[in-house]
Amino acid sequence: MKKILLAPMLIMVLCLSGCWDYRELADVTVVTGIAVDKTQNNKYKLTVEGINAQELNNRTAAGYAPSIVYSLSGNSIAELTQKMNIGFSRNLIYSHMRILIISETAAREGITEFIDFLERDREIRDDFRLIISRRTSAAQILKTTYPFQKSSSLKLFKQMDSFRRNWGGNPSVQLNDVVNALTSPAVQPVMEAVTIQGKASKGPSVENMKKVTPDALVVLDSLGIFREGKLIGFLPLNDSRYYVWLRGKLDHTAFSIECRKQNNNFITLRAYNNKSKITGHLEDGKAAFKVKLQLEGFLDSNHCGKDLNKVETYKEYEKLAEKYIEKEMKLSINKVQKKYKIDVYGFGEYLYRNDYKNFKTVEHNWDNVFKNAKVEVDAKVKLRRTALRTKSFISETKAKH
Amino acid sequence: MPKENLSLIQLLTLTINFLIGSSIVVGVGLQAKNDAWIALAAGTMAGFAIVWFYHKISDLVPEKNIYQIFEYVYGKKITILLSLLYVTYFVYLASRVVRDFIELISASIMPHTPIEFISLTLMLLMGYIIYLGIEVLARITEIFTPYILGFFVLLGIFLIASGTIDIQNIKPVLSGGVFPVAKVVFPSIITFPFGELIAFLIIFPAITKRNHSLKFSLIGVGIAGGLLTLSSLLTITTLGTDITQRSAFPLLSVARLVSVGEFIERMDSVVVFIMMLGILIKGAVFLFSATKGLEHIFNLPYRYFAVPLAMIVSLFSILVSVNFADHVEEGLTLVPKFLHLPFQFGVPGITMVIILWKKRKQIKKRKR
Repeated sequence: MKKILLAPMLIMVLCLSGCWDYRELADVTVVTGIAVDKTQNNKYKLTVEGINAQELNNRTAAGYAPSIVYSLSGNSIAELTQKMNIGFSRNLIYSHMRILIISETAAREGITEFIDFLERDREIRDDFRLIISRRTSAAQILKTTYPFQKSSSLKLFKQMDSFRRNWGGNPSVQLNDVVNALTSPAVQPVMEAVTIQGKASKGPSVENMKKVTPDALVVLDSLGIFREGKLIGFLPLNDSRYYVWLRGKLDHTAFSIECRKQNNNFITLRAYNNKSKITGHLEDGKAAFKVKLQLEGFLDSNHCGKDLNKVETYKEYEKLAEKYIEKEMKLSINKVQKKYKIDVYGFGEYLYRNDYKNFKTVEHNWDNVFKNAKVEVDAKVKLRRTALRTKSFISETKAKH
Repeated sequence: MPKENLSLIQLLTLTINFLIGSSIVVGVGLQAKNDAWIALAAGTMAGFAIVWFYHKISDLVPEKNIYQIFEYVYGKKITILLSLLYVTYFVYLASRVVRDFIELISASIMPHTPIEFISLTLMLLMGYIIYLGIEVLARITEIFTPYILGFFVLLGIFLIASGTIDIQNIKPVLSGGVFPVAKVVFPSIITFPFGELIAFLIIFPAITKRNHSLKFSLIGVGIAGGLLTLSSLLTITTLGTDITQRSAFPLLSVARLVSVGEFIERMDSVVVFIMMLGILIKGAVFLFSATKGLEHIFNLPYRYFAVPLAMIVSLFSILVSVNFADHVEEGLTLVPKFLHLPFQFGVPGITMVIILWKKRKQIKKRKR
């Protein structure tokens, strides 16, 4: 009896032993970044960076190339990802992709088509950054090496994260942000742009990692803004920071604020707890918004040397900072209104959420309404402390003379 | 045939898992856009009424399951016909539930595994559970439900911790007025998942403390409705309305976004666990209901039918639809109108009216 029972059990074991979808670790190459370019003959050129894991570990590194970059042209990104073995030996795994670089030319022609694949595919997850390569091909960015994170996509990922934390100049756009903005009637997507500083042609080699000033270095450049899924222009990093602030994603940043006109002297305000709040209303097809900004900060440098033991000075500097921020923010918003005429900040989103019925009436030409919208900025700065010194030694040295 | 005994806690956990079951896989009330959670909350209220209704039927003819009630009301011949119809209905629902699961697995985890094997392994297990009896199923549910609740709480905490939740996404609330939401509640949400509690008419007679069972059923519906509402709130606030609506499996998409300190990431597996258990229990309850019907027709213990019927479900889970669009469209347009409404409310409603009428006649007779 027991033997008879054994037979079906053994058969069942066959069914249950793992699945069709296993992949041995020794049999895969992890893709850390992909780049999309436009070619003349084909729709897209896909470039994939597969890392050489041995080189990324300091103990096992032997000085060879840290990653292999390979390009292929074709009509759909989805197909190309499966076709990469024309050049690569192992199965490629895309689930740990960190960045996606889109070339400027490809972005100008529209991103919506291949974003669909990225959103749909089960392997690709929403934790990578979308970047535009400005003035250079996307593939070139992937090929540029860097000594710390040897793989260029890992470097870029880290770099963008650090920059966002310290200065806040990039929004660290993820796939869902782009998709949500593309489908929303009230806001337009953005992506940060990078470029190569130096000689791009010297980037793709181990030699580039051996220099104190690398021949080619990938640097953050600006913020690319889109209309209807097509890249239409770039905003400088400074404006990009104000964008990040308005979207409520600003962590820390630093402002240099002029404190004395004649000598061109500045104070530096290191800001934290940055908050922004948009309110507004719509009347007769005309929109008016009020932006409330709030930040806490400490003084990190003081060219003017005023007495920082006094509450008076604190108040004076707070005023200065408020004025400066209000002016800059307003300039930045006006620039977008005048030059690009689209709402990247999500002012429309506020109306959509809080005044749905009125917004419905202007939804189809929201960007036109936004173009003429009045925006007021009201900043509130709280200067809390002045780091390790109170008075500046500058005031002391001057006192001697 | 020996009577089986279920405790009240087992009834509670069975209700919760049954209701969460496939509804959490495919998402319910998505047509209500960012008001899906309102629709679900309203649907839960309707769910209370539905459970009360089924309980009432069961109370009118105590100690009897739906097939025996039919016999009491309609006589032998019509009962056999009705029972066969209900058995078919339950087998069909079980197939659909299993198909939901198959689609989930093959779209998200194992795209290259033939779906026949996914179906077969699940159904062998389900058949075996029913072969051992409803008590075993109830005990499984009792053991695993705390995990489900725990995982839900974890998912919520991790999502908040990863900062992906934007509560502003639920605005504008009721942008199109109450009417579009009401249209989703009726007939979509009341038939799926709450109306499917009709299968519990077969389980109620097995409850030992019958006089408290209504209370526990209501609590079960409340908890399950709460969880469903919570899950729809989570999906809307993390993914946004647009992505939620385009997601084949919304909660799975949400779990993929979890990222706490680059350490706890991608809780897909946890969500798949919740879904797998829900599917297993929901499918098993349907399978049990179907076997009970065969038991009534053929006068043989239901265990005899468990494995063969499970194999039939396994086969039909693959044949039930050609592709995913077919599966979803059938589930949203045809099934509620032509299957759910008559089987969940039509037949039981008529039956209840007849029972009440019969009872009154008996009382009158006694008075004379």
